[in-house]
Amino acid sequence: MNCNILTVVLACTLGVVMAASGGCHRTDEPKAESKKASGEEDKHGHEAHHGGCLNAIELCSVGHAEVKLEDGVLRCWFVGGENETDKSVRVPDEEIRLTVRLDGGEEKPLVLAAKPIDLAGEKVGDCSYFEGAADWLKNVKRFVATGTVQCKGKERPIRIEYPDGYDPDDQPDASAGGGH
Amino acid sequence: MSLWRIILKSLRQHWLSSSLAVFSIALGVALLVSVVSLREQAHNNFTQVGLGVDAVLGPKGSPLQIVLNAVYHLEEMPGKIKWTYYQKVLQEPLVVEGIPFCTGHSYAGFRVNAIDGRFLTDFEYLPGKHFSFRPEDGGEGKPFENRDEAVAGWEVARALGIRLGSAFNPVCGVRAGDPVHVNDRIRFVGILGRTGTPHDRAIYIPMTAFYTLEGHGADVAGMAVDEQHREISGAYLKIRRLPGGALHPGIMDLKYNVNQSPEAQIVVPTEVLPNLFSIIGWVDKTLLAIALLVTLLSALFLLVALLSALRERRRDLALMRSLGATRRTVLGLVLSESVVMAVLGGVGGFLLGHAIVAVGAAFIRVETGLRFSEMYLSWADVFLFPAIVVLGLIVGAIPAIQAYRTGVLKNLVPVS
Repeated sequence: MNCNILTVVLACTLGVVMAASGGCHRTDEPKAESKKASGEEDKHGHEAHHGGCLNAIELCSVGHAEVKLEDGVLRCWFVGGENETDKSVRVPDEEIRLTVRLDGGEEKPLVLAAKPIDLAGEKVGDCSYFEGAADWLKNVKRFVATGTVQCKGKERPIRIEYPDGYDPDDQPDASAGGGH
Repeated sequence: MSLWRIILKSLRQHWLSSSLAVFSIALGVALLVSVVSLREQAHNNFTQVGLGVDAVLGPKGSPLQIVLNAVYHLEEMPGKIKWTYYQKVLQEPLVVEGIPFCTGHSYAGFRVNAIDGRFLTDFEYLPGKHFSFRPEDGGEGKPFENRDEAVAGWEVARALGIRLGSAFNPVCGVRAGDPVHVNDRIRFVGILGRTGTPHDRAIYIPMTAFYTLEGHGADVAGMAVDEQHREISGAYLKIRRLPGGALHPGIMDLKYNVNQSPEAQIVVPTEVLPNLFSIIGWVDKTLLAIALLVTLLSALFLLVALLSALRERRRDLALMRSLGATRRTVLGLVLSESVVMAVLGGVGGFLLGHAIVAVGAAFIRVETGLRFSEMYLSWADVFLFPAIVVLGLIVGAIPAIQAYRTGVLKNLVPVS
């Protein structure tokens, strides 16, 4: 009788231990999925180091424009592709001309001027940070801006979708398996 | 006869199995208490305290290595930064204060750091706390003023028996066998009061002493006066804070801007040190798992002890029932016995665990200068006794139910 009880207790103990260790694996996956779905993390896990939104330059692997709108000033940092969003990407442009389409469909021009980061040793023509200000930006909550930038040896189109960010892999016609 | 006397008598009757069960519980609990306590204290030391350094300006390289070297006086700095760049960072409106330093020297196993004199007078090693030379704080003497003067941290002075006026020759390096600056005799003019931080484990000399040590060559000696070519290992930075005391969020932009430079980087200790735990996290998780398994095994041992005691006591229990004890009394008796043994093991484990923490804390304090206390109460201590009582009840449930079902007539039948 006692032996039977001991066997049951040992079996239960082993079961609890195995369930606990197995449970760890099972719970991790849904967590990652739910995080992604709820948008807590940026697309593909990229991190916006200035608290802005990341917009891929053509492809995620080329680079990103991290954009932040504060008090009518649009701040734009050109940063690396993939997970290298903490590294700046310098561009030779002295200014970047954007066409901003507001929520209502109205289009406005906006010029972002190079603002070299002194501590990084940047200068105009070799700069990763740009700023553009306009009064009409003060009340803007959402827009899509397009333009071009010289990035990594060639002129590339940029598309800024504020505040959600732009990722070509998320577009409806994007081919499957975006290389992430 | 009261319930407690019956329990004590039973424990005495089966003293060997009972004491072994109590001892095994004590071991499991001690392991759990000590592992959790040391783990929590290590985590607090490395992540919450920050040791008065909001950020470290250091050379390019591993951020963890920079923090360990600059703040904990371990490892080596991966390079140097230019004084002119440090001055540029100081101009940033977000930077309230900077304390430059040069590492890379040692004496008798302790680091010898050249540092700006304001470190000893103005620097807050913990919020609101400055270094003290007052005897009531364990210090004596005064901050260094001249090139050939030094100040010893409390632990260094204690370990090496340093007195004011005694002198030493710094070693050019931090490894055994590194060359000694034989012609540079530096005299101790101050001993810092105990801070309970890694700062207790270093010797501090003026920046000029570092540059002009014999053997450093003319180029380095020139850095003492030539700011354009001067190099430093790094600098402690104090960052402007918000009214509530939190770091100004602009530190993220400042960090990003500096980190894009090929010359230097800003490292925030409270950001980097959790990485250390993610690297070594498996160690404490493994220890915690072992502690839990030992506790589980000791619970099983307690179960076995109770079952074997019950087997021997069937006749006694039947006798008790025949004398008027109810089934519930018998059930309560066995459950109480289980809880008493578990609590005895818990008390023993609590004391043994804190004894282990005391030994470990003393060792860690001497080796690293980190603030570890044997009196620290961890979450394991808080939940220990309720958990032990529950464990005793769970383990005691099976033998208690068996005792509850004990048949009076069957077990009172003469054995011979």
